[in-house]
Amino acid sequence: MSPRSIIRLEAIKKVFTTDEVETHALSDIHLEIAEGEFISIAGPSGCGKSTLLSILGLLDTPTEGGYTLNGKPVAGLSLSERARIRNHEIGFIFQSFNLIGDLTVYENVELPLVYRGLPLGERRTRVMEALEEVGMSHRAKHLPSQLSGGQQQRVAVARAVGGRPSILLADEPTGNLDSTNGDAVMDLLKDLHRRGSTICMVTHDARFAQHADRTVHLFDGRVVEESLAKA
Amino acid sequence: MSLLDDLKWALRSLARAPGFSLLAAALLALGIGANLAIFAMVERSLLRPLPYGAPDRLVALWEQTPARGGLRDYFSAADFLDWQRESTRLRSLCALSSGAMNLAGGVEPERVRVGRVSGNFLDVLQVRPRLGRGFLPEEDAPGAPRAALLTWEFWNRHGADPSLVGRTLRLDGVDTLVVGVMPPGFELAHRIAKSDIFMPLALTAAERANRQRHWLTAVARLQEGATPRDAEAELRAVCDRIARTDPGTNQGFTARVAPLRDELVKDARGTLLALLGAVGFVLLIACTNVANLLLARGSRRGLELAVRSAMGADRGRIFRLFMVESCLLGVLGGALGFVAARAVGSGLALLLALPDGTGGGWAQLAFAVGVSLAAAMGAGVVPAWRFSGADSRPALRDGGRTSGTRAQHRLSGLLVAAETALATALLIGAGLLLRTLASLQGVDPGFDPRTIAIQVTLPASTYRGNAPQGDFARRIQARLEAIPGVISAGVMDNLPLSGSMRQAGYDLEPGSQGRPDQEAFCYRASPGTFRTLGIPLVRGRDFEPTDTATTIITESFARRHWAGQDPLGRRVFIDADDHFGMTIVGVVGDVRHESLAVPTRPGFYMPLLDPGPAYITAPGLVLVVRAQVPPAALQGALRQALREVDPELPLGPVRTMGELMDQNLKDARARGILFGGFSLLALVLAGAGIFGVVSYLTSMRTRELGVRAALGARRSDLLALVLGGGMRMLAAGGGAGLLLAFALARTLRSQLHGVGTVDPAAYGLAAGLVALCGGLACLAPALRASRVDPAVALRSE
Repeated sequence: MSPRSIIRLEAIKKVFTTDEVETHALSDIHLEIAEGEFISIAGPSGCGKSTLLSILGLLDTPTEGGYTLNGKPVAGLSLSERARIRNHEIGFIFQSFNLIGDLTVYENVELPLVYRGLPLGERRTRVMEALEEVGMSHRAKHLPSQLSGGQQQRVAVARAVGGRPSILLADEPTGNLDSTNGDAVMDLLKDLHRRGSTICMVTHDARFAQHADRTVHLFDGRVVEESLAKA
Repeated sequence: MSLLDDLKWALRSLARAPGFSLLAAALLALGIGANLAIFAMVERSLLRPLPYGAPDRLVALWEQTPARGGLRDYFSAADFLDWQRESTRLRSLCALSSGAMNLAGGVEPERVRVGRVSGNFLDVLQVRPRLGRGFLPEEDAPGAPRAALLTWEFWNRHGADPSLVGRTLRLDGVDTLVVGVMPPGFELAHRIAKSDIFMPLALTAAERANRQRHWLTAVARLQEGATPRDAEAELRAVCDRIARTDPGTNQGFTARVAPLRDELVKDARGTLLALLGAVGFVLLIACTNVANLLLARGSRRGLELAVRSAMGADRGRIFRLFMVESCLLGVLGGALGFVAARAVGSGLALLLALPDGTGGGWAQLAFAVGVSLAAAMGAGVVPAWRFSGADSRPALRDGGRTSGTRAQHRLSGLLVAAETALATALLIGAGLLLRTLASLQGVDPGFDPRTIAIQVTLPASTYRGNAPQGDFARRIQARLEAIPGVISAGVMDNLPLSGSMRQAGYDLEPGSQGRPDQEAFCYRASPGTFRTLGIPLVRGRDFEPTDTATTIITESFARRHWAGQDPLGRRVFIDADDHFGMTIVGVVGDVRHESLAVPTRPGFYMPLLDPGPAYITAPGLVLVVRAQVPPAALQGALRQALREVDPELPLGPVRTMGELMDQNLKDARARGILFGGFSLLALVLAGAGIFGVVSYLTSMRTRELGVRAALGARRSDLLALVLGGGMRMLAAGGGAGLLLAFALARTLRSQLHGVGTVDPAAYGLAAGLVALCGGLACLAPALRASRVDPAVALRSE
C-alpha cells in the first residue's frame, strides 16, 4: 500500500497584481507530498519558493488551482477555519526563527497549543516533550535573547512539532545560521523525519537540499525538475 | 559642536517632520494655553497688588457673634467708633456699607449702587481720585450737603464729561455734589456690593450710639510694625471691655482682623487654585503625549543617532540635541498657547465672574515662558535620557531598522498609565463638582422659582419710616394685581437668596434685656406675598391689611421653640430698646435664605403694612408677582404701574426667582463647567495618547502578530491580545487615578455639597468613561492588528 497523501496541489497558479501589472509568481504547479516524506523545494531567489510555501501553509491563497490537505480541499475556507487548520495540521519553522521576544522558551513552544485551547496539563506535557526532543528543556525559562541562533532555531523546531502537526514547513531553516549550527538543525530535521515526520523544506542551498528524499526545483514559478535522493 | 549647531540641526530635524512638529506643538499648546488662561485670572485676582497704596498694610475687620455661630458678622456703628477710638495698632479705619439710590434726570429714573464710606476712606486706602478731590471732613457729618465720588466706569457710562465734577446729581430727590471721579478699575468690595458711586456715611447721633443694628464692615491700615494678629488681639480686648459695659448687646462678641487681600479673594481662591490644579493635570497629560511622540520618533532615528555616536558625539551631546528640539517645540507650543489663552481667557473670566486678567503683564509673560520651558523639559527629558544612552551597535548593524526595545515599550506603557491616572483623577473631580451642581439644582428653595421679583429703591426723603413705605406697598400691590395676566402680587422688604439679608435678635419673654444669642432671619411682607411666592401656609393665617404687632414664623422657628406644640397666639419680642412684641398668627414653610448650599435657618415675617418699630425700615422694597405671562411681556405694564404710583421711581431689573437661584449657583456652575471642560480635554488628550502609543506598539509588533497568526491565532485572538495590552495599561493608570482622585477630592471638599469625597457614582462614571475612551482608542490598532497578514512571518527582516 502506498503512503497516504498529505498534500496535493493541482494546477496551482498565483498572480500578483500591482498597478495593473500582473506578476505570475507560480504557474501550473502540480505537487503531491506523501505522509512521512521529506521534500525540499529549491531554486534561485525570486523563483516562487516562498510563495509556494505560503500557499502550502495556508498563509496565502492560490489564484487558481486545487489544494487538498489530508484529503480535504482547503480552497474557499474562511480566515478562522484556515487559522484552525494551520494550528492543527501545520508546523512552521522560519528562517529568522520568529520567536516572540517577550515570551520565554517554554511560552513560545506553548503558544500554538494555547491557541488550540488545550488544557494546561496537556500543554505542559507536550511542551516539555518537544523541548526534550530538541534538547532545549534545560533552557525552558530563558528568553530568546539569551540564546544563540542555533538554540533559537531548535526552540522554533520544538514549537513546530509540539502540536504534532501533519506536516512541518521549513522556510530556509538554516539561512540565518553558521555552518555548524546549520548542520545541527539539519540533523535535527533528519532525525524528526526518521521518526515519522513529514517535512517540506524550502532552501536555496543545494548542500542541505540533498538531505531530502525528493527535491522539487522551481524556476520562474514553474516546476522545472524533480529529483530523488541518491540511495 | 556649539549650541548654535544643535539649534540649527534641531530646526532642520523638526522642519523635516512638519506633521510631527505641529502635532507635538499643538498638544503642548493645549496644555500651556489652558494654564496661561487660568494663571491670568490667578495673577489678576490672587497675586497682583491691590490698587491701593501700600496694600500689604491694609486689613479687613469683622465681628463674630455667638448668634451667628462664629460666622462673619457686620458690626454696629457704636462698636466701630469704639474700635476707631481705642485701637493703637490700627493707624486709621474706615467703615463701609452699601445700598442703592434712584438717580433722576434722565429719560427714565436710574437705580445706582451706592457705597457708603467713612469720609477718610481715601486716606485709609491711600488712593487719590483721578478727577476732583476726596471728601472733606465736614461732608461726613449728619445734615451736611451731600457729596459723591463717581467710579470711573459710572462716569464713562454717563458721558465721561470732566465738567460733571462740581455739578450736582439728583439722588433720591436730593441734590448731591459730585466732588470727584475715582481711577479706572477702583472698587472696594469688602463685604459690600460693587458700587457706582461713593458717599460719606455721615453717621447720625442715633446711629453712633446704636449697638444693636449690625450693618457696617470696615477696612483699616496697620501702624508700622503692627501685624494683623496684634491688631486683632487689641480689638478683642476692646470687645471684652464693651461686653462688660454693655452685656445686653455685646456679650460674647469678638473681633477678627485679616489681611484685606485674603478677604477679597477668599471666595475665588479655592476655585482658582482647584482650576490651576486641573489645568496642571492637563499640561502633564499633554507633556506625556509629547514624550511618547518623541520616544516613537526617536526609535525611528536609530541610525542617525548611531552615526552621531560613532562620529564622536557623547551622551551629553545627544542629550542636548534632544533637549534643544524639545525646547523648540515648547517655544512653538507656548506661542500657540498664548494666542489660545488670549482667545478664551475673557470668556473664562466672565464665567467665573472674575476680572479679565488676560491683559498681559510681566508676571504672565514670565509664567508663559516658564511653563513653556518646563513643559518642553518635562516632555523631552525622558526621551533624551533614553536615546542618549542607547547602544548604537544594533542600529549600525541592521541599518537603523531596529525599532524600539522592550524597555522603551515599557516606558511608553508607563507614560500611558500615568496620563490615564491624571485623566481619571480629573474626571472624578469634575464628576464630584457636577454632582454638587446637580444636588444644588435639586434643592427645594421653599418658594416658586417662577415668581417674578422687581427691586425698587425708596428714597428716604420721600419714604422715611414704615408708614410711607406701607402706603406705597398698598398702592403698588393693588395696581399690580390689576394688570391683566397677573394672578397675585405682594411686596417684601428683602428677598431670600438676594445676598442682602437681615437678621434680628429676639426674645420670647418681654422685658428681658436682650439675648443676642437668639437670632433669626427677619422679613417684612404684605398680605398675599406668601401665596405669590408659593411659600406654603402651614398653620394659621396670612397677614391682613389691618394687622398690627403680628408675626408669621417659619416651621423651623416653630420647631426651635415649640416642637410638638401650637405656636399660634404666642409672642415674639424683637430684641431692641422698645422690646417690640408681636403675636404669632401663622406658620409658613421654610425658605433658603443665604444660599442654596446653606441649610435653612429659622426666620419670622412682620406685616409690611404695619408701621411697627422704625429701626426695621428698609431702604427699598421688592415687588413680587405671579403671572400667567412671561416676565418680558409684563415689563411695560410694570413700568406703567410704578410710574402711576410714583413717577420718580426707576423700575429695577425684572427677573424671576429662578434667575436668582441661577445666580446663586453661578460659582458651582462655573466650577463644574470648567472642571468638566478641562477633564474632557484631559480625557481626549489621554485617549489620543493611548491611541498613539498602542498604534505605535502594534506597528512595532507586526511581525510578531504575523507569527502568531501563522501559528494559528484567530483574528479574535489578535484583537484580544492588543486590546488586552491596552486595557492593562488603562487598568494600571485607572487604579492609580482612583487613588489620586481620593487625594484631589479631599482638596475639593469645601466646594462639595450633597456628595461625599468618595462618591461611587462619580468614581464609577469616571472609570467607565476612561475605559470607554481608552477602549475606543485601542480598538483601531487592535482591529488593524487582527487583520495582519500572516505571511509577514515568512518575510526576511
